[in-house]
Amino acid sequence: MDEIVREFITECHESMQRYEGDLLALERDPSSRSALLPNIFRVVHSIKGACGFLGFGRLETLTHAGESLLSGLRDGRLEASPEAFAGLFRMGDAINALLGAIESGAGEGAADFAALGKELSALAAGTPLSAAPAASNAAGLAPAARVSVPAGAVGDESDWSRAAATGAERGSAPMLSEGMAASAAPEPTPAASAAASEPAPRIGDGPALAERSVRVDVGLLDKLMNLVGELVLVRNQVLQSTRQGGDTRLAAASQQLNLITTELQEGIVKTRMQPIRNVWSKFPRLVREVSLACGKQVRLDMEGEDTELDKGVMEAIKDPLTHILRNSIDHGIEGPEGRRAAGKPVEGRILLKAYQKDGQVNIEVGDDGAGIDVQKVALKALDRNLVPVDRLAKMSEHELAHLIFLPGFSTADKVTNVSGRGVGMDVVKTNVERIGGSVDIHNRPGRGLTLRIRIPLTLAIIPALIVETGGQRFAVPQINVVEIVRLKESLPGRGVEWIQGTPVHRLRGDLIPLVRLGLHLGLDRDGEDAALGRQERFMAVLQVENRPFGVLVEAVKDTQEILVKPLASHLKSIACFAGATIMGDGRAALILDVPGLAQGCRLTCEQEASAATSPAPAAARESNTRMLIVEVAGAGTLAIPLDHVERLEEIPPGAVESASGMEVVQSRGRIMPILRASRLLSLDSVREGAAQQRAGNLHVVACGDGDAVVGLVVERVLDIVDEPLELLLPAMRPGFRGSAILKGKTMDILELREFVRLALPRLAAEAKEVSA
Amino acid sequence: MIQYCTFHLGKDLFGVDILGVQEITRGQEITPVPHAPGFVKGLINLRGQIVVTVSLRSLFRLGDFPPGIDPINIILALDREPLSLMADRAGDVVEFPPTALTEPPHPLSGPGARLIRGVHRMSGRMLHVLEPAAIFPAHESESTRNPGVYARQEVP
Repeated sequence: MDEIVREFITECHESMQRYEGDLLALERDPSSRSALLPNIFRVVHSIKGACGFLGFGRLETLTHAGESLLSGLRDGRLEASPEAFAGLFRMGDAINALLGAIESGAGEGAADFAALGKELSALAAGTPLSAAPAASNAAGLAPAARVSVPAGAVGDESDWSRAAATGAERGSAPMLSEGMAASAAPEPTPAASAAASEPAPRIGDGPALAERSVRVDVGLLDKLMNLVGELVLVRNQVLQSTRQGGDTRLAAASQQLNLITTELQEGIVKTRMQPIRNVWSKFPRLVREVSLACGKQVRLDMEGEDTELDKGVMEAIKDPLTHILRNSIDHGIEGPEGRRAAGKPVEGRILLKAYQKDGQVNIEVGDDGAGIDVQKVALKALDRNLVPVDRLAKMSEHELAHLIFLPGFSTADKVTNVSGRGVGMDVVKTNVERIGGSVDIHNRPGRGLTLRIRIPLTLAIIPALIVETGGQRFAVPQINVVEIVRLKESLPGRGVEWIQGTPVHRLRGDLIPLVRLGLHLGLDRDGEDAALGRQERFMAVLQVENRPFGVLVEAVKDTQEILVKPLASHLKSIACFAGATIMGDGRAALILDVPGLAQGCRLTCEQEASAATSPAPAAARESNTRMLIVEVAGAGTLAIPLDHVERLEEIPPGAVESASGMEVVQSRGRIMPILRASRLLSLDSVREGAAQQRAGNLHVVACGDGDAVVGLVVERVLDIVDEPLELLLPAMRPGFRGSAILKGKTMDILELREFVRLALPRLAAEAKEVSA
Repeated sequence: MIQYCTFHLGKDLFGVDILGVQEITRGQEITPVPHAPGFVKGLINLRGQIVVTVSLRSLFRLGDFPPGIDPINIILALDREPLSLMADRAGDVVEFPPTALTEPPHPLSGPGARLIRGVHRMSGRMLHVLEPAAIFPAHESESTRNPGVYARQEVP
């Protein structure tokens, strides 16, 4: 049976119970008319409305007649006679009978309530029953009754005329269905045919739908979900402690607890599940509109609409899917001429597919369009300075296709209404990753493109790998874990190689960047000595956007189902944690946010990857100057020669503290004053805006000067270039070396050390002024 | 009259409005949060609820908790999520009329200074009254933004 029909029936059953109760109360106490009649009327009215929409003609005719009678009673135009009550009660029975028939899948059934309808219409017209001519039909009489409406009822006038209009419009439809009913064969309504193809529930098998399903507040479900999460935690704790103790009875009971908890958890998760159809149902219309707007012909097919998803997940994928579909039509599928030329049918096809696999939901959006032209993508990425050229040259086709997920990327030649503003695919990716999912591309150039989204079934409880480093445990969501490698003691450096001071690992021939978790999180007490910490014996290979990277940890514990608890709101800005959980021993542990962690280490990864893959001749390097290209709000892009750059850091805004009137951050056990480049360089008018613009992490270029390290905050680090530096314009202001053309743009070259030396006293003086 | 739950930090006496105090615990195991502001000591598990713990000693630049002191956790029920304040030891509950609150005579140093709402003069010493909501300056806006999100979720 259609979901919508099922919902309709559940709703009707509920309101019919009220209908009968209200009717009874009204019969007992006629003075309660003004309170009860509107309710009764509303019930019948809404059933009538839904019937018209769903195509249940007989039910509609019947309720329509009842509605006329009820409105007459409500307006005081008619007397609440015993006949009227009898008619209304019988109508209630008839509605229930029709609903039962619909529910059993037999359409509106064989029973004909036309006579009752006529009776009701006659009552509505104020004509005694006996005088109602048997030949006249209900639909014909009802408008006639309306003519006699006293003009005094101004308030209801509009209501009336509207009802009359709909009645007239639909006048022919009920007639038709009545005629069909007379032939005694069940009507082939959509509901009937849908039910026929569905082998499952039949009416005799169990209680009626209204008794089998209840409406539950979503808030209550959320609460149950939380409680079950807590129970999972307690179960974990109990299991852990019984494993240590020797009491067999307790062990048996805890096993039982384990099983029941798992089942309960599955059950509760199920209550929050909805078929993905609920989101997809809006797509055919969307595809129609968008393809019309693009002048293309597109057909949308769907498979696996019954795949169920958690309510929260469903909300989260709605927008990404919409984006993907729009993109598919606008960029993917060619215009009619293009398709004809390519020997494809003029009508493009998009296939939406959903299925469950490995405890995850897979959603695929495939089209038979042109696919991604990776060369075009590469050029565009170069054009927009999104990726350094040497890296681009080394990318596989698959990696190139993934460039469309970069922020600010758009291959549309023109900006259209539909897409091409450079937002979209990156938003898709972030939204999907935010709920612990991933997006993959399967590109078939010239033949089409398939995007596959993998998302967890539910957000609250996830399987996770527990790792330990620096004396602390961390949970790594299993979805990001590819494999675990034990670093061999026998290999020199335990298989870790060093390129430009950053560790990498050669995993089956591929170099993957390494992150030393303990060091990155500041847990390494040994500090930052180049040698690998002696304790790090395991490498967890994690994956983000199909790019693997290794995380070095001291120990790998087991995998567990953990309950994800959000991090307190004031700690949300820390990018490398997705939340917290409680471990079996009752201690809190942090859940690593793998995309966030990769982001935090990105600079070093890319820097070292490009260094590793482009062994430029040493001679050429001599004359080149390596420079960092950064963006400073209000001052454009600047180049900073790398020779004084100590390191690059990304710090959460919350980490900024103050000391002796300056902003400082704690960095590697020291206090590092930070200077905001935008404040020092931009014009006063833009200063305010620039200062407020950024809310994310601060990008700090740390400059070493003897023992002291000072950080310069920039908006973004754009690139690292290795080019001969030719000054075309001498410096016009202190702290600069001059200006040059780099990557086709004129840029000021910052003399970092001098700039910082000049800026510090100025800041100190400002601080003094403020405090004085 | 306002009742204050008082506690000691070094030589100083502090207090928070007792209506905001959920409970006082001790001996909780703390999970540090890397990259968090320095005064955030970590997370504790309070009967299944994860609570952020803030060291008042770091907020007032009083150094680490000296050995021999088993710090207390004052669990505050802030409007959305609880917060735990770590102090040396608990004091009495005292009562003052709200009008008796005065400006602190010499402002305290450190990032904790903004937390001081005022002082009450007691015999021979001063009670520094804390405004816990000011610990995370962004917390205010966060809590006013979130009810909207929640309200939306509850619509069936």
